Amino acid sequence: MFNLEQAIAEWRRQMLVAGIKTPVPMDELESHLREDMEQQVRAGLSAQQAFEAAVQRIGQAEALEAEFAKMVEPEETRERKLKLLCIVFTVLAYLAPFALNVPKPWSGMNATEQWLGLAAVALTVLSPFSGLYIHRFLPIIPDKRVRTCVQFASVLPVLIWPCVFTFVILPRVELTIGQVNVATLWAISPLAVFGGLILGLDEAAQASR
Amino acid sequence: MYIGDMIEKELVAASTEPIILSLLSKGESYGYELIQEVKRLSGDKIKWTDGMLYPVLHRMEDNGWIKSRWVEIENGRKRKYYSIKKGGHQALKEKREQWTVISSVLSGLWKGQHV
Repeated sequence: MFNLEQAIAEWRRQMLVAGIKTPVPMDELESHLREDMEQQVRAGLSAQQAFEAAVQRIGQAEALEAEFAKMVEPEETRERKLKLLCIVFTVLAYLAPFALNVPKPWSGMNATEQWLGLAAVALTVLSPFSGLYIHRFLPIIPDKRVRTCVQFASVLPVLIWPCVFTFVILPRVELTIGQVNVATLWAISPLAVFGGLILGLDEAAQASR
Repeated sequence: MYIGDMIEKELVAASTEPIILSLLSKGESYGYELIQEVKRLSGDKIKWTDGMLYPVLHRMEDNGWIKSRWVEIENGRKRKYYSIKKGGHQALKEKREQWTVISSVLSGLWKGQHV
């Protein structure tokens, strides 16, 4: 004797055994299966025949799995989101001392120095996101490996720059505290500008597809 | 005039979203009903594979075009109803414009021609 509930439970089990991993909405598929069955039974099929026909129509687990897998975000989209998230966190980390007023970055600055410092902060905060807009002016490097090499090569001098600034330039010049603060804020900004360029190279490659 | 039994699958795939959006713009519906409605409207020439409709519906929901809700029907059974959202109306408008252009181009080219 055909037992519908048992048959449906078995069908769900088989779908899982067949390797359904992505979030396939089994409840929704089951609802569809029952709907289809009801129609077939009304049309004169036996419950068992209707069930078998409905299972066939709804498709095999592998095919469903493949369709639902298409919904999973492409790797590049995920990478892009991650990069943007990193940029946001870095910018927030950069802004935190200003927000908390530690270690009082504006103290010892006159009005001109404060404006110059503010300009440097604005440039540093906005530059990392510039890649989202300036990518159309940047070269398109479709090969990801080559692109990564170019990005590393361009970021290396920028990473060396803070050391040169701190250990070579600053000790050799006579500056007031305010001037040191302004110079430091401007010294940080190339990191942000190059960060924007690096993101821009990825954006340019993605936009060309 | 000869009309093939079934429409090519690429064309069916491309038209799935505008069809769903058009159907849902008339009122909320559920997967099985959408499939039956498309079969009826196309005179059985468009047959969506049952299970394949749901990934499309879920993608459209992720895009913010449609929303869904479970409704309890008779015997405690549940049915998932979909309805169109504001973003869906906008997407439908855009898709409609695109399909209208294609349709008018082909109509213009085929005017007076007999296949």
